[in-house]
Amino acid sequence: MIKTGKETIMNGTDMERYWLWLCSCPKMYRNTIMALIDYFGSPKAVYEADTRQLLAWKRLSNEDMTAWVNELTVYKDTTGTADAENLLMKRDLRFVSRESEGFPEKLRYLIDCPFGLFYRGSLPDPRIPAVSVVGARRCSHYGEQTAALIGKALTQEGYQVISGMACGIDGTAQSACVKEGGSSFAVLGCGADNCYPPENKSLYSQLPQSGGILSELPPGTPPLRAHFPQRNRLISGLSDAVIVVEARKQSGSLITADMALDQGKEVYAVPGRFNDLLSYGCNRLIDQGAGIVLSADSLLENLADALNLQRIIPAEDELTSSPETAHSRIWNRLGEEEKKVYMALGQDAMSVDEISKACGLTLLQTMNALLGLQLKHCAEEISKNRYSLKLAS
Amino acid sequence: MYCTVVSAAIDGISGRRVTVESDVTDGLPTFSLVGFLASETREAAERVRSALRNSGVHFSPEHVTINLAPASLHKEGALFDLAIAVSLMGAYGFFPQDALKGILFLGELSLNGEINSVRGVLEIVSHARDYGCDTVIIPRGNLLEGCVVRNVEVLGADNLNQVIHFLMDRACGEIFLQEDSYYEPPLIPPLPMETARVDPEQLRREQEEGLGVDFSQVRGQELLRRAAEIAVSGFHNLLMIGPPGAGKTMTAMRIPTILPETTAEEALQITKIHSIAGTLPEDMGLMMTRPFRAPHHTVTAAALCGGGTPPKPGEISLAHRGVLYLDELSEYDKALLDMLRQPLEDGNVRISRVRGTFTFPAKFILIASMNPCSCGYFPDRSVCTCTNAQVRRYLSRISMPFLDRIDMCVEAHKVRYEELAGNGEYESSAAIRQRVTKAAAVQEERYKGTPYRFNGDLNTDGIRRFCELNKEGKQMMKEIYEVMGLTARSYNRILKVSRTIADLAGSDRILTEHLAEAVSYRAVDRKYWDSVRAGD
Repeated sequence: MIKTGKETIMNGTDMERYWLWLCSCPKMYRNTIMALIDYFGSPKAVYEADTRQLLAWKRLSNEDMTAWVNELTVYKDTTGTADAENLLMKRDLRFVSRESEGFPEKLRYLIDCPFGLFYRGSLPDPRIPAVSVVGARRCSHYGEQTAALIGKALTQEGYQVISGMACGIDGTAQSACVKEGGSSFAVLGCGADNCYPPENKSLYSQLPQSGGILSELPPGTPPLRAHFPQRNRLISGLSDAVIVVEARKQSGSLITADMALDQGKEVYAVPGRFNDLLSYGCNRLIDQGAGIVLSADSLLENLADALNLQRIIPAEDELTSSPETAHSRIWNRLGEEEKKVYMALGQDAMSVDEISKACGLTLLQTMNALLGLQLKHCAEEISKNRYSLKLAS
Repeated sequence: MYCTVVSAAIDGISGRRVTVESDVTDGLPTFSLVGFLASETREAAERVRSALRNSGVHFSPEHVTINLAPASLHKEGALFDLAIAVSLMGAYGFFPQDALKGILFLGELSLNGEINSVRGVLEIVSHARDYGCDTVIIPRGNLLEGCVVRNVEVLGADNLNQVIHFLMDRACGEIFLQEDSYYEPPLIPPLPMETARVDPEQLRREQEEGLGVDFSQVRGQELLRRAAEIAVSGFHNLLMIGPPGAGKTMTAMRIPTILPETTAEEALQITKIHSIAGTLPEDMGLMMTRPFRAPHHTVTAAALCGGGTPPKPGEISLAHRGVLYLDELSEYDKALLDMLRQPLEDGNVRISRVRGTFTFPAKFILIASMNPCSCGYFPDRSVCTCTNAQVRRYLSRISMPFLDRIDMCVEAHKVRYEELAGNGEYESSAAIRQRVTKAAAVQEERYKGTPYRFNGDLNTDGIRRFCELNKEGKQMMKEIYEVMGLTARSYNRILKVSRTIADLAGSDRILTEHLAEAVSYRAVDRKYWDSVRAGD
């Protein structure tokens, strides 16, 4: 059996190559690597181990490993370290093992620190504070608006935004960050060469330009349900604080929040309304002591306090920044009927009929006023004939 | 002896004159029917012989040839039976050729001599003059339909004996009857054939009464009601989007009660199409109300657009000058909906077959309804269980080019309990219809001498000519165009709809308030369809 490239000398330390080789093995999860390292001592030893030794390892381990050893044997036969390196290059990915210096310092503190990270673009800058914004995939329009607002505010303040690039809150916050020219990092629940969800294709291609796409899973791994709680620990692990925007009672974002608490990170939640199903998880977090996000500015203020940072943008004067003043600024530009409609509108979508009932105007007047508000950027049509207030951004 | 009789056939959607010639000579007794006939037409030989015998006509065995000219036209159906019978009797010498001059015969015969109704009578009768006839004898079942035409005498016959008596009375001069042939009239002489006159206004009143539904039964849904009013006033296509049980179908079903009145010409057009398709109710001479067609989503292409052999008008032609309602739009086959694009654009549908191309009129208001997603509750995320991908997949069942042809789009929301149970009074159909009629009259007046009839018919030129904005309006449209990111198409549609809103308000000019309302109904554009994308 000839192993190609065993003798070739590549850049980087030898050890790094063996780590890459081991971590690129298909279906290689952290637990398996740990078991192998425990037994063999180093990735190099695993690489050089023959089938007999592997079988010995198998006998030591439990039943589940049987299929595993066959898998690993095949992998050993077909792929050498150079192959793994070529493959990595072909997929436009980079690799860093936890023994390497470039490995994110924050992750080293995790109990279940990954053995290596695959990434495209770059890794989060350790000198710059990072905040993750997470939330529901099926989110309301309000949630989406809030996520975008927070993503934008964080970027302007100079934070790195970390999230999972999922549909809904995650992707929206990251898009807002990228749009603002900031660095954003996505931790995926599949191989880093895999764009999941496919809807966020444009975001996926933009992220590596100033941020990155990270995954501990071997390239080519499909997005399986079980991967996501695992990747959530990396999201919270990489960040200094976690902001939950919209989370239902049983939401993956709550796992992220729990892990963040375990890891000693700050957790903030955007409150929902009383009895609001979509924000039930957020409200409960607040109940349990999470920080409450009252406005983008208050969030930045709290973050700066918690992380001992100087604010880049000086805090706005309490008077001008409060929602009331923002409203009154708009207020003066509105006509009589527009004011009535503006008062009736909320952050949840309302149908024209409801609005006209609520403000006692005829249908015609309502539609007139709604158009005026839309032209003045105070309201927007979320879906056909359903309107909501536009958040000032 | 030789005898010729005039009849007519339906070719696609128009009538063609057909001459039925009979020749009786000595020779081997045969009975041959020629002239490019379909099998049911060929079977006329059996029906005619039995019907004549059972009416008391007895023939001597001769060599009989009957030809239906022109031979180039493929003849289908049983509507030549009566003409064949009369022509045969003429050839045997029962009546002279003179007695048959200027009469057009239509009808299918029963074996006992009764005359059954046929399709397409109105179209043929209205062209009788062109075929050189001033009298038309048709089945009595079709009399109400036929007598709509005023310039010819229309007689309705129940049975063959009535026709024979009529012709014998008409005959003057000598007749040379074939040997051994004779007529044995029934003991009780048959009644003379009937004539009738219809009063279109009377018919209109009767037909409108029978609807039994009223807009006052629709509770709440102010926006939907108003949109329906505008759509029918200007013949705009309307799409209703909303959760199940919001009242979309209920509203649609009440749209016939507010449609503008038909003009005499329109009524005639509508009736002709239904007569040819065989969907005209027997007791309804003239369809004075606009048709409302609601084909189920399992409808086939041929049934929707027209087809078959011979090509018959489909649902869209049957909805001509009326409403085509497509409930659960997303359930229709995508290809099927795309077939509607050409008719929606041109107001007619062209059906090309090997035998020829037929053009059926198809100018209708398209009213469609659909749910916003497969569970029906999007964008209410607290109830909707669909993922964004599912919503997008659901919406993508309808193609963009098809949506481009829909002028108005409106949301139907869930009805609130207070609206449902409250005893609020809602406007009746009659009140709405009054406004619609007024708006229709305004349009008729304005579009005199133009190819348009309603605002919905306007093309780009028409929009430029008839939908002029004042200075404020132009300024506002500019803002709307920029802020809302309209497309050229949606811009034009807003103008068309605002023209109708102005007509309803009795305003000559389109004012800003009319524009504002029209903007609310603007059809869904790509932006809306695409916005259902996470992180965008």
